[in-house]
Amino acid sequence: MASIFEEIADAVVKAESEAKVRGLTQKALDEGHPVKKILEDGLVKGMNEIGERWKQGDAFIPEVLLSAEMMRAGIDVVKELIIRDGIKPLGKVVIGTVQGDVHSIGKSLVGMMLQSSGFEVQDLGVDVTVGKFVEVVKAQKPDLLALSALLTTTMPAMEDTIKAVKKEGLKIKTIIGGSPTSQVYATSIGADGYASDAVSAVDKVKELLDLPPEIRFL
Amino acid sequence: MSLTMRDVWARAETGPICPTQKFELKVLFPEVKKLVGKYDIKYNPESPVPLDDKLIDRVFQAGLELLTGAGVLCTDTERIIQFEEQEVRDTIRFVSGEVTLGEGKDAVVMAHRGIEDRRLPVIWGGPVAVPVSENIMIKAYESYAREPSLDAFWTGTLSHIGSMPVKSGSPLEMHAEKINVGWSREAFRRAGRPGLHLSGSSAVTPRAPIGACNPEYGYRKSDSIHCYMVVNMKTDYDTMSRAEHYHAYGCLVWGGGTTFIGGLAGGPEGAAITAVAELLATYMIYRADILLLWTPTANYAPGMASRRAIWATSLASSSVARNTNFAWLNASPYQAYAGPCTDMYLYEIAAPTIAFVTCGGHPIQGGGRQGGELDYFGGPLDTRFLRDVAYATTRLNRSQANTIVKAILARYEDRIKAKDPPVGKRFQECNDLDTLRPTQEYLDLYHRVKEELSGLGLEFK
Repeated sequence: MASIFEEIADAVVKAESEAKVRGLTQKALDEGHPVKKILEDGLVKGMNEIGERWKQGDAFIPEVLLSAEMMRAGIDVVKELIIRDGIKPLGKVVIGTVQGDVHSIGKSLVGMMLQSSGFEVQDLGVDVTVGKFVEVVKAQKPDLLALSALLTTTMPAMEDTIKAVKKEGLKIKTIIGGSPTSQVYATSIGADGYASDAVSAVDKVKELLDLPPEIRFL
Repeated sequence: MSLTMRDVWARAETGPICPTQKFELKVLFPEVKKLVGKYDIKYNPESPVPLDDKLIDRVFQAGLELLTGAGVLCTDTERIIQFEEQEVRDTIRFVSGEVTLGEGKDAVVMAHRGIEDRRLPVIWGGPVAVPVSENIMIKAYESYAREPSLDAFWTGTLSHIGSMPVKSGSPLEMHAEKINVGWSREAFRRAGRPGLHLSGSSAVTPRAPIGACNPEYGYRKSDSIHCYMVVNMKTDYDTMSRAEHYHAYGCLVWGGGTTFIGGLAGGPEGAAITAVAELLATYMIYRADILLLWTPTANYAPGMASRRAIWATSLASSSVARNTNFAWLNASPYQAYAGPCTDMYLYEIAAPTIAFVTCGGHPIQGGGRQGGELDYFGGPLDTRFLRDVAYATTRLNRSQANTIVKAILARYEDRIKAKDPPVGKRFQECNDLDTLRPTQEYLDLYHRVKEELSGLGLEFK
């Protein structure tokens, strides 16, 4: 018989209903299991499994996005307990698609994969101005800024954003991604990192923040 | 009852309300999954060129039902534009099946082609949205225009003007659009082909190409400008407004789908039917005169020439060839994974071209070395190679094409999987900038790969 954690992970992978994930998460709490274990062995494990399937080409973006919704539903149930138990995220990430570009899927996917890996993620959406990025970075003081662009004509806004953040003297790591970008381009505009897909983005962010690859939550 | 564009605009204001993410995850994706099962569509890696007419027709019906079942979301109003199957059938019945590209003695007719059609396809080439340096742009464009195999030209993207990067939405974007079109026209004049067909706006905001609709310094009425779907099965008021203006101006409207494998459409099976649905949608919503069918792959097989991409695009193309009168383009590929002047680059052109031309498409090929790097396109020899392969393909049947495509795939797909394509060379290194002719190195490679293809059964004349 599957453990409650396996049931939660399976419900996240199958993404049948948010109510089911909420119910199972509440059941695990009622049974007295620690929040950290519910997160790591249930909700996040399920999310990682769908992420791995996606990486292998056996699952697709909508399935990953639906699983992320399930995970969020489960996290809602334990949110207050996460704060009470002092479980901290691995770091804080601000993410957005740069000015002039309205492509959201890749950026959202990276944000969700980071979230499921234990990062606190603030997603600013698409067509984000340089000024908005700077304002949020100044106010929120994240550890890392992630920028996305899907068009060659919106790529320059990545460079503008990175320059503006640096000009403000803000100590923050930066990473870029999106179909027309590359490591060569990332280096040329002063970004600290580049990732070609959502799974490698998580690994790269951990590397940039000097975190061990296997770590989840602090 | 056939629909007009105004009928569609009205539905964008009155259709059922649906937030974008709900449409993508709770409407579109479940509908795609349902139709893939209902019509028993299964990816077959042994048949990158489809041989089963019943499967081909099921894919068309599934695409039509996706359009009528899910509809198209207008992201500005967050309302679903709904269509009835009979409305779609009545509307596409009036498609003429041919369109004239360019003008005067340089005009060519692009007509509907069927599967195994012996008629020669129209050859589209150019840098195709690859970023181009300002200092080589006219020379590069002239080199394409001089190439007799080229029937229609697709521009690159001007990345900088002076030291300023061309940013979307800025005045420089509008300026760059006019420069790009103006320099294309000058290059055509220098090559003695002033009426050559021009396409390929790279501006993101609609005001740039709309502002460049001017027969004196910009797009002519014999040119085409694009109206894409918003990923996936979505549209917006900017794009519908583009279509309104281009039709009012009188130029050709080029409609492109945005399906990619691994994205919102799911796997290759879902991508095939979504590509068909989006092709129908670009006609229903934008009244596109020229259409694009493509299904590039996402994360696990970069590029547009992977086995899955060829399978899905060929299947969608065959279904459109058998069930409509449209004339459409296939990306063969827009951008290769390898860089120009490498054997893999030419294989990436050959395999999809053989598949798509067999399945009724007209081929368009661009540059290589995905990643938005400057000047990674091979020039006129790319187009000559595309023409040679496409014309030779018209002498093949589907079964022969399938065998040859698989043999070519075997020469490069491991390098796609390893994500280790050869870097290749830039335009300036593939061509002599004084004579505007390909280098001996590139010519030797061109002949060597053609000999290899001859050995696989492709007969060049």
